[in-house]
Amino acid sequence: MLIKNMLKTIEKKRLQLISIGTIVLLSSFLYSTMSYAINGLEAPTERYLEEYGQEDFSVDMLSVLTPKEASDINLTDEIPAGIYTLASLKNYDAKLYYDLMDKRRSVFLNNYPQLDLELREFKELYFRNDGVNTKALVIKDGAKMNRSYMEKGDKPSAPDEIAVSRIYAEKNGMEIGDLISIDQNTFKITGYVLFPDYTFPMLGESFIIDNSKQTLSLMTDDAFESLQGTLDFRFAGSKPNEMSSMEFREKVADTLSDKEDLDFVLSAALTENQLRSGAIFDELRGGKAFALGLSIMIVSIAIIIAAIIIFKILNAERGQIGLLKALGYKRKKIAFPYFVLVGIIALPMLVAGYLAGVAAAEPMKNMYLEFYLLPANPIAQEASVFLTAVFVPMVFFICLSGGVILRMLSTKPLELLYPHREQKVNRLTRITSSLLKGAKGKTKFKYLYAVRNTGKFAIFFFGIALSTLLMLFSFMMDGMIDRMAIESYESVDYEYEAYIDPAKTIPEIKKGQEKFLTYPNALVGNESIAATGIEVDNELYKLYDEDGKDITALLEKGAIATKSASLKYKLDKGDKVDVKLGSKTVTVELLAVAEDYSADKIYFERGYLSDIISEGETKDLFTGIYSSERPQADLYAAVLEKKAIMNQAELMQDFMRYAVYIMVGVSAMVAFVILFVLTTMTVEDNYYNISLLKVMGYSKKEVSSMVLDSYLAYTIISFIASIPITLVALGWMVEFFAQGYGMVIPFEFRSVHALYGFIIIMVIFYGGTYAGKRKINKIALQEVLKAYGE
Amino acid sequence: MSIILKNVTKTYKSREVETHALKGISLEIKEGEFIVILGPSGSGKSTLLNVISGLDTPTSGVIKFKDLVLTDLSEDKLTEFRRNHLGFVFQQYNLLQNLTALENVLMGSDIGKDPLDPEEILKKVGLENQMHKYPYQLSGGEQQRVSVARSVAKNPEILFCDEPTGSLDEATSKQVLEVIERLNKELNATMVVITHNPGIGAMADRIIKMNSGNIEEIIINKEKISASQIKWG
Repeated sequence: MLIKNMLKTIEKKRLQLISIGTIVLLSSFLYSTMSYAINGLEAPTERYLEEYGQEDFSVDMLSVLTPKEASDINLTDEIPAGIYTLASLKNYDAKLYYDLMDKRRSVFLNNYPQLDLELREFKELYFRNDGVNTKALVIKDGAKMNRSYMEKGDKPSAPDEIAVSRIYAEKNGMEIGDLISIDQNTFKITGYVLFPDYTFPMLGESFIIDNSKQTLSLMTDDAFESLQGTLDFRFAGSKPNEMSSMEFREKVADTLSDKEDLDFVLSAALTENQLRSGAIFDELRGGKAFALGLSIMIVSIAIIIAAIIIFKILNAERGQIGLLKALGYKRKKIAFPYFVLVGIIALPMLVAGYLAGVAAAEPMKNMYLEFYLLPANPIAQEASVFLTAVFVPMVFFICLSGGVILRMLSTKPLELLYPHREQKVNRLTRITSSLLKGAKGKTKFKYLYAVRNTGKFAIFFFGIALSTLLMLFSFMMDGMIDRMAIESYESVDYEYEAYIDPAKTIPEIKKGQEKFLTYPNALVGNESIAATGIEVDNELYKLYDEDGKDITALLEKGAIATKSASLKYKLDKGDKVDVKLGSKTVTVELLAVAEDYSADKIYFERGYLSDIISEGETKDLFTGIYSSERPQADLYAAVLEKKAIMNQAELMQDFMRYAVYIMVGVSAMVAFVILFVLTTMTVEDNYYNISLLKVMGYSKKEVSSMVLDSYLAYTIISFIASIPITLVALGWMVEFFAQGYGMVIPFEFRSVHALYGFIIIMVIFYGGTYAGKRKINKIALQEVLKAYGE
Repeated sequence: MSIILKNVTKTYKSREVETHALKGISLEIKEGEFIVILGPSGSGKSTLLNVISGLDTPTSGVIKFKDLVLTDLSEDKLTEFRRNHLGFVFQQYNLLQNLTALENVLMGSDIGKDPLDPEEILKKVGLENQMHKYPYQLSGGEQQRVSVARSVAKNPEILFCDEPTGSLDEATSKQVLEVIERLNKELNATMVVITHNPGIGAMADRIIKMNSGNIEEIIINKEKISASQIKWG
């Protein structure tokens, strides 16, 4: 009988219960999806990184000879003019190059004997595969550190064999055994390779990660050496386990600049601070924490709303409960149906959310693997995830609702049968009332109505704030890739950039081509920054400030930093900056900041930069050209097409957009459920008051306005309050990434984001309160009389 | 002439059962009159109040208020009619719990065309020292007086009181009735009080006794007594 009554209650409140059920399901779904997806990556990743010797840190060094090194080797007469990089040295004499590398290693280890270093060499190759511009980072295999891991297949053993990334092969419809053409050579794919120092596919400086157009590659050492392409290097390092990260920073990274014999060292960075190798740790931890945090917030809202609903149901049935108690029913027997009700709200939804999460985990894991270069395990269910997704929230549901149930059941039967209807006024009501001093009765009613129950109001306020926060965060994320890559490429007029191959004759500069000079190893303080020289009057690569004003001409009198460098190194317009270029340090005035987030650069007039780095020898140095027409590829080391880079960035942008839609959808759903449940609940709680107002002569419109529009006002207040909270939270995040990884995330808040958010929240408000409005219209005038009737 | 009812019936239908709550009521209520409708439970007195006040529509018959034929009015027009002309007091005080006594009265005066000063009204009902208190801080009698003050604050022409003392003890009931009596005299408002307590009839101009949906008897009080003189029972 009692159960039958409970079923009737469910029928009456089905929409509210379905809504609560939906967000319960959502919380369990989010948690189990993310947990399983990440667990499917975390364990094999940890094992792989351990077994294949992921570096503990890496050391970047000058890619040119220091004056001391040059004089030690006594190269001046032997190396042809214009060849000054270590890559050129290797081309000229590989032994000299490796001797120099050994020497650098020894000097370093003499200073830090507790550490170990290993040379890491790689070449960037640009080629067209099936008409698609592709980049390959061919890495020479490590002996101890960062050893290659074959996900599938075998390591290349012949000069015409290559191993590539699995994701690259899959996205291009290639399989092991297929052939791939790189320039004029054809290679057979022998397997899928991973390297522990590239878990995040940052195969260069730019933040473009499209694994369909770039791949890590492994070849035999001989094939590697004979490859065309720009050679680059760094040192991978290992430290003793007992040396903490803090110790490394204090005893190694921060002391490098004090060691005079280490003038060839640019920086030493721990893996945990390297985006390409260490970001995965924070990504996995962060992904789990985010899923857990968001699920906890959503499920907390659901648990509290469910407890409020249970309380309302019990309150409505208190007379009946009192009667049962008076008749001698035991508390347990009376409570049982209500616990069943809680179970019906929570358990099936938690389990459904969990099962949906298990199903969604595989695609989610695969989505991670679209961007991360990691080994993966098949998804296996775990007791701990099930318990956290289902059991723990269930316990909270039972405890909180149980507390409410048992409290009601501990009331004496007489009190239940003849309750005091007095209702005390909370502090929030008093505060709001005093703020509304002198207002009309209607106005007071309207704004005091929503705050009469502190718990409900808090859920409402914070729920809307949480939804707004997620929504604004999503919108601000939306243009991120655009600002990081696309905008900076859109602002320049060249179509191709081509890099000089020092081993070849310097090509003639044609019409529609303009020279640039890049010096990647400049230092501002202890921070490495790329110095780029462009012509003051160039047509193809103009610099613009945040207002879109052409600032290129300022280079005649000083330097210009990119926005990214400005944010990261705190460089502002008007600053006098000491820039170390090779052996010389120059002090330049920063005359402007260019609106460019794509890289950390400081721009100079090309002739000036050439003069400095050649130590007064020449003003004609250049390392590449910008061109409006495709340059002849065989004259250059690499030719990059702007359009191809932009296409890659746009693909990322599309992915980000999907992520934005999902997040906006989740936040909208949470906001909708909160508004729907709370407003319908409020209307139900106030049948008599609403009826009374109608009897008094207030029109339906006025009653709806008084009962529901207060929520509108508080929705707007909550929305507005969320904007600064979002900005502060994102500010922290930007700082975290800038300091942790040296990566500037250009979140940008635009007033249009607030407008979009506002429109969505308003649509949700009117949608969510529609049911409430309909209920108000349906409440009979005589409801107020029903309390006693005839 | 304030309200005229001609042959008003009200029938409720539920599945197979028909209940005739009003069986052809004809009645005239004069302006400023104090009417008490008496009757046992189920006699139709609350149904009568509902149809007279436009809270419910009769099944047949005509109800007029001045030039308005209430039985022809739409729901919105009926709302307007109640807003402009009527006040209500119920057995349950129905005070808005998160508003003070004064704010509750403001809810009434806000919609009146020619409202009375809420503070003045609260003084008239003897609550000048309680006006900033919340309902839970007031006794039952005080809450009912706030309810009365709220109803008369918009200066209605007719005040309907449905069992206004139903939840109160004798002494408190008399205080509330005194307030109603005083407001009837001072504001010249028509009072229609529904009760099952025959004692209250003694303070009315006319007593309408109802039974089984019919007016059983109309008694004209030649000598009204004041609320304090009522014999409770």
